[in-house]
Amino acid sequence: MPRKLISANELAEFVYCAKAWELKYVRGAESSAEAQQMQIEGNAWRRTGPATRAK
Amino acid sequence: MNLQVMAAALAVLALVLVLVAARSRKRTGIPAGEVFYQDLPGQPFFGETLRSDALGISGKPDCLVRATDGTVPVELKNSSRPPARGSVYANHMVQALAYCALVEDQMKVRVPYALVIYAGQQVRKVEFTEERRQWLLRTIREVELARARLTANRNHDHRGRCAGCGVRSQCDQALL
Repeated sequence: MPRKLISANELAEFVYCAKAWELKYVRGAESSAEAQQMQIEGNAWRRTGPATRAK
Repeated sequence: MNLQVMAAALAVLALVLVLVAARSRKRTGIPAGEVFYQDLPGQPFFGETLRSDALGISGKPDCLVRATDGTVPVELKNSSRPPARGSVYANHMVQALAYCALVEDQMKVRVPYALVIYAGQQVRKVEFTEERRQWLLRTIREVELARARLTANRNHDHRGRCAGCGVRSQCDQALL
């Protein structure tokens, strides 16, 4: 049976805190509303980000 | 306006744009080169998820730049307070290293380093050294073991991490 690949994001979560990784990836815990809002703002920064987009 | 004048004007405009782009890249630390992969649906060069069965990992860097010394993954982070002395946070580093290994394995190209760009265009370089590659492989193994155990314990003593953690209210090992 092929092993389930670990995403780079999941590796980062594990290094940040292995217990938080367990809660999110094993127990399926949802992040707080505040954390989700920060994620939305982060995604906005990624969309508008620095000058990496031009060829 | 005749065609020759228009052509000259366009040539000058193109030169100005090239100079502005080069200056911008120099200021931000982004290497000169072609962006050929982006994690932005609807944009040119929208890329598929990179996968490596050999390494057991997958991921989508924000973009890939084809530079003179190899292919460089670039990751954007919204934190406006990166760590001091030009370093990156450990979680951002392992993510950047994962992209280096994925690009190297899947595209069979040299990957000398990755860039992590924090808000405020603070660019940090993550060299893809052998020591860091080994750390990445150890971390992958740790996650695989934790998956098999279905449990893991807090692996830090930083109250700040707990303060910024989105699942702290559900954690019985939180420091706060």
